[in-house]
Amino acid sequence: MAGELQFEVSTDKLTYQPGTDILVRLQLTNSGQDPLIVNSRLALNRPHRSGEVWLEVTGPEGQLVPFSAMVNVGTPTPDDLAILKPSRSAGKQYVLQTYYNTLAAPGEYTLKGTYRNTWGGEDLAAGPAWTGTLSAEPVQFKIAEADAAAAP
Amino acid sequence: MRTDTAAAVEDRTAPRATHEAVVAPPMEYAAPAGAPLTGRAPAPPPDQAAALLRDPRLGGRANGPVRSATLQRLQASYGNHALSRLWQQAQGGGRAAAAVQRTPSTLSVEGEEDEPIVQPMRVSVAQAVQRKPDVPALTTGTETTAKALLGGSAADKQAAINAVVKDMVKSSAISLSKLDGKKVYYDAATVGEGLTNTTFKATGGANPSKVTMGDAAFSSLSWLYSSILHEYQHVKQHQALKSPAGWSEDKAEVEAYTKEILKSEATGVYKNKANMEELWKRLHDNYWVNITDKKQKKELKSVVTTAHDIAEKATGKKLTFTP
Repeated sequence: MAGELQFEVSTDKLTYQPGTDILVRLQLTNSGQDPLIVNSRLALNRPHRSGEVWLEVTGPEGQLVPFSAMVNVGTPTPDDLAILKPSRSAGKQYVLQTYYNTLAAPGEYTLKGTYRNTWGGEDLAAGPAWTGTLSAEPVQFKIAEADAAAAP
Repeated sequence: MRTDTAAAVEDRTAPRATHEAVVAPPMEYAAPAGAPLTGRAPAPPPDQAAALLRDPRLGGRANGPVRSATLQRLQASYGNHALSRLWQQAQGGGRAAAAVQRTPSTLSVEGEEDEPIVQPMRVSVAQAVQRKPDVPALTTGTETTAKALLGGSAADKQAAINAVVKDMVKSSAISLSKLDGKKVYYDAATVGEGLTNTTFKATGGANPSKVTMGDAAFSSLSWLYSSILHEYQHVKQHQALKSPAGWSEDKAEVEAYTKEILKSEATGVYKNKANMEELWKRLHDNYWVNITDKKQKKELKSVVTTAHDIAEKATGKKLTFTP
């Protein structure tokens, strides 16, 4: 059931020094009572292109940080599907700057994530995979001002 | 299908061993069991030995024991490698070419080191020419080397990329000058076949592009070659840009997938119907249908139509195309 699958986006820190990797974790959790088959590939791409996840990164001035990577990813395969038992999760971690390479200016950022799977797995003996769209709760993180003491 | 993965940990297949076709020169004889190897007359000098091996009488059916003894004597005097070379000389090119069809045969001699009298030979030129390559754009040597590395460790995959890229540079398919680190990287964290990322200078113009290949690119050597070609198309696109403004990701992806389809015979992807269909679907369903700019569509329509024709021919299927 759709309501039993949760999608969560989180960062490994609240504040980052300039130039350090911002790690984003994408996680699907089965909060229901029954096992679910999910597409756990969690490929990150632009909205409504191939891939299951897109992020909206809003900068300090309210501007959207553009997605910069060209991602060559195709349709998911059965290997991308996983059975999630109740209360279990499947996740993937990305370095945000790999996909948003202009993300550098100091300030507060908001991160919104959307998970979408349209592939039911076709003729899977175990039953159809979960399909639908889920939005994660927005999270905030900060890029600190460059440390003046560290400057030459 | 995987179960309950708390984190994305991909299984890594152990490196596959290289299996090369090996053949031995014709050995139409068998050593007499327990034949004494001592107390023999000294072997003739190498030039005479080659002449002796060429003697047609030695090939006579009744001369089996003589032939066998001769070979053993030469082997004992000159060693296995030298005998192998002499045998090759004696048999000439025609016999050597024919030899590739034969079952490898070995003959061990008691008391000798544990290797066959005649060393197995690597696949002959004659056979290599006849064999159809997986990736016609690659040299046979690169294909053999890289293919064996596809299912290996991260280092193996990087080595496979390096080998393919080296050939691509030689054939002018790509240039390293615009690539970050002057190489194409393997990165297990890259989801999908590949990823290209380029930063732009504040003054305008692109910095060298970083290209990483993911595990999905390693399903075959053809697919790897084609995927590198795809990413390199993005490198060229980025490097031609003065700034990211005006960039059309959909147009860029259509061009990259079109390139893959147009080059599919050279990359070998053409022979894989599923991959050809997948390329067309990515081109059309993910990007072509999202282009709303009529001018962009008009610019691309001719090559996309050609790509569609090639994809339909390769798959033998009617593939959806919304012009």
